[in-house]
Amino acid sequence: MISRKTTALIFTLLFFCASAFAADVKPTKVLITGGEFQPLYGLEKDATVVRVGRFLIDSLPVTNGEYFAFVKTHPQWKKGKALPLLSDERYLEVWKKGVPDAQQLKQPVVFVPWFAASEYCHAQGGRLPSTFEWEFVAAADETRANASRDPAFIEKILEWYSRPNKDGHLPDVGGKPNYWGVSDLHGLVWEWTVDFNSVFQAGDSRREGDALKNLFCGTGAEGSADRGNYAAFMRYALRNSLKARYSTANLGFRCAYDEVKK
Amino acid sequence: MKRALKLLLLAVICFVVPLRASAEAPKKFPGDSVYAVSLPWTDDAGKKGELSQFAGKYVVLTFIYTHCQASCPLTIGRLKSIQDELDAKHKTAEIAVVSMDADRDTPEVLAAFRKEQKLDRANWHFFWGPDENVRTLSSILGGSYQKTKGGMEFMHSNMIHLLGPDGRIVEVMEGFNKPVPEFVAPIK
Repeated sequence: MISRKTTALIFTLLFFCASAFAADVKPTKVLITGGEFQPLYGLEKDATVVRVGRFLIDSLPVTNGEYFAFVKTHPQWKKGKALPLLSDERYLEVWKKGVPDAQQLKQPVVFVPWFAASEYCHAQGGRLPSTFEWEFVAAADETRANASRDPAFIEKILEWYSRPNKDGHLPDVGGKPNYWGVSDLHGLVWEWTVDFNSVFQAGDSRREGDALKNLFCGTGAEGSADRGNYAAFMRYALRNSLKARYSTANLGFRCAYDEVKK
Repeated sequence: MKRALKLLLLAVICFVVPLRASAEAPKKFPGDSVYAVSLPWTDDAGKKGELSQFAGKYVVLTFIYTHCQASCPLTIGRLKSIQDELDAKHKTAEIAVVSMDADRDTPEVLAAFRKEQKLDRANWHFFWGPDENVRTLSSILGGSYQKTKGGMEFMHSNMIHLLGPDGRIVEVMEGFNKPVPEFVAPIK
């Protein structure tokens, strides 16, 4: 039996070590050597693949603990202080007391608008990944760089998409890493990308209305490059429904970095 | 001479220093004003500034890139129609055109474009800024753009915004489907 004193000590430690705990789960930057892949949308006319160059990406989504450390040095992003121009009223909704509770420190931060995610990454010397970069890394399973053709892989992702999130509590970050050594791209939160809102079908920009219709129609997936990947289709549809100031449950982010040339 | 230097220093302090305080809200603008976020731009004369320099006036705001073949000439044409309508109604507004092509549309290129297009009215302004600023501004305005053909062309939203004197959005023309008189109607 743990004495009351010990319990108190543990809680005190937990409280004071909050930022230390956050540091504990600090993601590593993983080098992605790039390559060609077939995105679901955004292919140019007559092109069959896009080339993704070399870049680095966080191995884990940004946690509440890490985001809290950012907010301390960027008071314009404190809960209740963010500009209405850049955020909506649900900003950091799950930080009930204006700060994350001890349980949430290693959980991925959610209810953050694109503007905040973008500024966070710049503060780390990085940026948000492009949609192509994100999808390229997310096409990997644990053993293969590209599992996006495997029905079992897609099935697993779709199974997560259909699972309701219980009372807003998310698991801690740190799931099994994929082929690149990157974790939690699927199964935890959706993630912002720098160009989340620029999904146009190849062709004339004046026909962008058609592009949107293609996205949202169920049959739209048929017009896309990869008929089988309904999971990717759902991600594109979600991104397209967002505005940069929206704070949404289950929507977090991670940062990417340009490779520093030696 | 010393006086001139002092003035220059003052100008640098007043101008450059505030530009560094990105995303910190100057208190004088409402929280939903486009001017609440500090984003530095360089105009086609090489002068540094921010959109909030137009505070107190109405601003017609849009994005183009000068290498554009498809819809940008339409955008410029629409801006000219807006100018004509303003003149006809004896109204005034600043016309601010931001390039989405940070790589190629340097202030010099913008100046050449302006000259070539004979857009020499003093209330017209062409702005260059780093890509991240363009993306932030276009996201604030709810638009998007995407490089295609290896960065040679852009696909982008066709939007023209009208900002009020406090920088709040008062009117949006999307895809050219709003009549010009309706667009400029809110201008007092």
